Amino acid sequence: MLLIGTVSVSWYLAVGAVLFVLGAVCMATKRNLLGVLMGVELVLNGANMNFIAFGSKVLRPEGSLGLDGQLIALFVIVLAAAEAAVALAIALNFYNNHNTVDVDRANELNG
Amino acid sequence: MDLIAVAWPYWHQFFFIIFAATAVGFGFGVLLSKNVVRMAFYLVLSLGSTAGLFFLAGAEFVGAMQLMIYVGGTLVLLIFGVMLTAQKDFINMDTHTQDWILATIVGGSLLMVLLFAAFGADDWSTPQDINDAQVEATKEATPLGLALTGIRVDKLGDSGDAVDDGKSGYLMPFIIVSIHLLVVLIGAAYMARTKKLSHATDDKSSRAKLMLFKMEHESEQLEEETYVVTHRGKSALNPLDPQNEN
Amino acid sequence: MNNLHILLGVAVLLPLSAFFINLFLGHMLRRNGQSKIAANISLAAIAGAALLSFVSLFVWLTADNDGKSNREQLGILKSANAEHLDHLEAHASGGHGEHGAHDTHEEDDANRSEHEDSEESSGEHDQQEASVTKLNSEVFTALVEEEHAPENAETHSERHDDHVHEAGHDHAHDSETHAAAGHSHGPSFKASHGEYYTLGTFGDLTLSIGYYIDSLTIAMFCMVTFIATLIHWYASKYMDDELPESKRDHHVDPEHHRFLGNFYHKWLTGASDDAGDDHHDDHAHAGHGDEDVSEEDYQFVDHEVIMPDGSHCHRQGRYPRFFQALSLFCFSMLGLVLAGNIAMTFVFWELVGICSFFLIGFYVERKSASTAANKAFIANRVGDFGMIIGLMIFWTGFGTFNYDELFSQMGEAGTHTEVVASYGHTHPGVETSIPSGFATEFYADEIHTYAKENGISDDEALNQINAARAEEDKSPLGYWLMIVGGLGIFCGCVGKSAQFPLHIWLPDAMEGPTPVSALVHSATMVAAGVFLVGRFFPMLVPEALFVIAIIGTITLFIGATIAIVATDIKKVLAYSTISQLGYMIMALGVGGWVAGLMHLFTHAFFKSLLFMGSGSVIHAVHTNEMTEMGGLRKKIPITAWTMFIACLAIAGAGIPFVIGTSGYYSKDAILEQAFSWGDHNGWAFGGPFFWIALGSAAITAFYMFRMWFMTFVGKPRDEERFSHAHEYPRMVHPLLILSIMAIGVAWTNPLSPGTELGYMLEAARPEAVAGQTLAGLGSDIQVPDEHLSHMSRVKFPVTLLATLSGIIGITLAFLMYATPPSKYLKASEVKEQFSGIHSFLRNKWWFDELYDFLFVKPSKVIGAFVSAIDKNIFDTILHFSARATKRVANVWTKVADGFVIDGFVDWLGRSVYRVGTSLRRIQTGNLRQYVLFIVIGAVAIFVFVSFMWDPAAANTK
Repeated sequence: MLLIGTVSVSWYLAVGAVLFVLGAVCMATKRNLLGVLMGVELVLNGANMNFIAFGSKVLRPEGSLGLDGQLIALFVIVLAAAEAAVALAIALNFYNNHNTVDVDRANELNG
Repeated sequence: MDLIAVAWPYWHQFFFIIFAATAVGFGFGVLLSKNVVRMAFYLVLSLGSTAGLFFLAGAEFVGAMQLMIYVGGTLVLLIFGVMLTAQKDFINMDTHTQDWILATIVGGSLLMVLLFAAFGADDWSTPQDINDAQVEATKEATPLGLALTGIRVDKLGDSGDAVDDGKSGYLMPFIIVSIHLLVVLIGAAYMARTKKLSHATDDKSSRAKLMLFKMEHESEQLEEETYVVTHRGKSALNPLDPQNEN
Repeated sequence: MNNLHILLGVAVLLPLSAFFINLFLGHMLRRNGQSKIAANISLAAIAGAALLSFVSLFVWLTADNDGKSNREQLGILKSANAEHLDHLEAHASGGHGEHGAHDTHEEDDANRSEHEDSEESSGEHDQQEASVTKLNSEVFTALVEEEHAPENAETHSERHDDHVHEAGHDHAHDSETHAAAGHSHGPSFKASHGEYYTLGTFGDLTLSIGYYIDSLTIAMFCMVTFIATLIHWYASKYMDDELPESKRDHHVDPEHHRFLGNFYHKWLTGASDDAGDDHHDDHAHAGHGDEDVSEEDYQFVDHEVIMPDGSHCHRQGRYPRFFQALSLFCFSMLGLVLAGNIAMTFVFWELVGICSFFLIGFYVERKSASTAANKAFIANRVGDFGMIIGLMIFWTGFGTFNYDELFSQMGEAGTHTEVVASYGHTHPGVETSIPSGFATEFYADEIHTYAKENGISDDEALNQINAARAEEDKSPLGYWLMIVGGLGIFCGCVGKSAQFPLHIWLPDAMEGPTPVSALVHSATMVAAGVFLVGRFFPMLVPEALFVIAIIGTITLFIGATIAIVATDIKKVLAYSTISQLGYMIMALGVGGWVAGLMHLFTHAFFKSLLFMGSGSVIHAVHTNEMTEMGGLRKKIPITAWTMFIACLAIAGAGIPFVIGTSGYYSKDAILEQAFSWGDHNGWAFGGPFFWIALGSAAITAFYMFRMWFMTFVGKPRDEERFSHAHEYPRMVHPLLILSIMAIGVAWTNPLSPGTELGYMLEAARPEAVAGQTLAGLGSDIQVPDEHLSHMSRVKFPVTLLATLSGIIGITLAFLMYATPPSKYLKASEVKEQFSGIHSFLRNKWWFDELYDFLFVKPSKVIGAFVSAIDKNIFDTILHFSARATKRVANVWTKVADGFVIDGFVDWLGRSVYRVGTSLRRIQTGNLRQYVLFIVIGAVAIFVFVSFMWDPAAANTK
């Protein structure tokens, strides 16, 4: 079906959804702090996919967001970079303090 | 591009499947791999495939940025992180099975919902005719840059209040984001700066843990005690309590 | 004249300021070690007041009165009185001789008075004729005639005997010019009155702080402040043992351990009790020096108070408090004298009472003192109750509290006024009516009804009603209210001046410190009652005065008789005071206004002297019992001889018609007036006053000299006390000063005639009653003009009799107590012979027992009865309701409080606790879990928005 029919926005959305869920599950299962960060990157990419898909005039000339979608995707990328920088700094701090990157060891917020 | 399109009408579907498969497949790789370095590598591939999908969707500039920032910047950063926090023999930290199950259930349900939404709207799922000329005509770097400075070249012909007032540009978010980036980088540099704590960290962390443990324990005890005391106090001091009649 | 009220006002306020200084700063001053500063402050204040009083006396004397100074006017008054007296004497000797000389006048008057003649007038006159005073009645008739004939010839009603009538008219014409001088046979002295501050006006009633100053006020001020100054001086030494520190007494001979603090006293008593253990005790106490230091604040040892553990009462000295109370007392007394209205008088009256309470109860730890204070206060309250009634009656009748308005009302249409023909009164002399206010206030409805029925005006109706009443019982409408009101006022005086039914408090008041007895209970406070009777004199109708005279006579006799047998030196003086107060009251009751008030002054001097002397004696020998004294004149000579002078003064000693002690003048004046009263009202009826007074004068002389002989003459009865006795300079100085006053206070001033005490008072004689013989409207009682008592036919026999009685009394006392026991009369034998009377007198006429039986016992029975009702009925009800309430409350507690409210609150608390603890578990701190939660939340929102939320439905709203 896919090979025959034209690719629609929904397919991109589906890929984005899968990436999003993979990222979320990754965050939920990885004990390594860096793994969690990678999960975050996946989630952001999954989200970005949606913006791109909605902003694409190739896929959907009528009613597309146009440049807005791409602009927001750009912002997301930039913010993701910032987030990555900070998250890595946190990770380093965490490692310095706990001598590990296992997030399960960081349960000080346990009520 | 022209060549391919002319040569093969299904090039779009074909590349979409390839990119989608690699993106999702390496995504799974990231999820399932237990080695951080491998996870980073899989992530690079997954993000790269995503960039390919961006290209396919006509967002060349964004795709290029994706490659540059993510693959060239963020992931390098991540790998630096991996190396800096590297532990003995790259210890694998196994996840409990129940966590996996739980995460799968929750993630699966989220996926179900998202897919439902993705395919639920007819407007989205119905493919539109793709005009090759249109695709060809899109050169987006300049409009994007102008949009960031507040000028919407792409909407020059449109009418609407927002456009007339010149409010539809992204100058303000752009400035905010740039300042944000600056602050974040300074903060990151500050947080990640080297501290001379090679030996003290162990003691400190263990001491902090001990303290936390004690506090936690004591507070529990304290709560129980106060509860008991208040109940006893009530019965001993209340003159109207029938138990205190005699 | 204008600044008098300022001068005297400041004099009043000075002691008050001393009171406040001592009250608020007393403790501070004591801490500084200035132990006597309290006394000095009070002394300075009262001395300042005295100074101001004498300055105001000077101001008054030099003040202008009708073109001349008051001093000159007093001289004129004196000569006018002397002239008037000569005039009266001339009548007394020549009245009969001119009988029938003026027929025309006789006819005129007969015509005019025909219709007013009645039967009782002749009967009444028979009685008068039968008396020895026929001559005198002519004289006073003449007096009345000469005063009123010129102005009131038409309205004057005469119903007296023809010859009397004639004689009167004879002289009325002879001395027209003289009569123009006015009622008081000389210049008039106007009282200065006004207000310092108006507190408020309530309808007709104005309450103000006012003043009423005449020569009586100024004389009282001088007397009170002078004596009070001396007593402050005296007390500053006498109250030494109350001093907070005993340091200044360390130099005193240790034998006088009474004056030391308990620090020395402890081992001194121990040493004297068992001399053998002297050293032992000494060391024992030396070893407890630290204790003594800690007890330094509790210096005063009250030997008359036994604590439950058998020791004496140790307490802080109350030296400042004593002077504080004394200053407050002086303020109250001076304020009472200065007061310009009845309300203010009453306030100060009560203040005086409460000060007396404080001072009597000064040794509050002694039961006797506290009960005495209570007794005094309660007795005073009983009197004050009557006083309030009197005040209300007068206020209702006159509509004012101010003295000047009251007195002017009395003068114009008042009680003692000129003849009111419509009442048809038969008595010679000035007739009595009542202020119309009394009738119109109390009988307005009756008068109005009568007026309506007869179609006449209210005034006419009142006159007619009064005339009709005069036919039946002689008293016009509302007259009895005047009697009751006057007696009500007198009730207060009975309480304060310790008159007969309420005299019982005064002897007990001797429980207070001796300076208090000297100042408060002999010279000033008890004099307040007499002063008030004197002030209210214009308001007192003859019937009220008659009751006053009776009360006074009873009191003077009771007091004198009890004083005979008293052995406590202060009790003798206390009963003597009662007796002398009785004299004053009686004198006022029989119309001797100047006599009574003059005795008030002279008595104040010699009685305070006596009390201070007795204080000196007590201080010297540490006992009140005269049976333990004797021969003390060798040890304390100044005290002895000053007291001797005082005894002479109180006995009224003097060389007849030449010169005498102060008591000679005042007491003789009283006796003369009593004689004169008996003269007017018939000896059968009026005689007892004079004879009892005369007999009591003898008794007075007897008991005073009995006291003096027992104390100062003979062999010492208690050698130890005798040997320790000595005097203190600071305590004898006032005695010397007062002894001079006791002799000479009533003497004539040769430099400026008229400025002596007698004429100072004469100048203050109430205008409305000056120089008039008063007659009652409801009875035949007459109150003779006081000038009549100075006639030689009265003065000569009375003076001789009085002197004789004094000599008898003194001689008897000398024979019984001053001579060796076996020689003449043995006191013990007399005592045995009259053992019944003796015990009767010893027990003070059984008054305390009588009151105990009449009032206390019934009160207790009623109290017990009421308490039984209380216990058996009310308590039962109360207990029942209390138990019932308790039970209900218990049930309620269990059900409502324990189950519902507590249950709910507890449940709430537990629930919150449980929710909290359960929620706590969610907060694992696990990052991955949080991610899951986020995802779950996202899913939930998605599901909700996709399947449950209907945007269309939301929009339609």
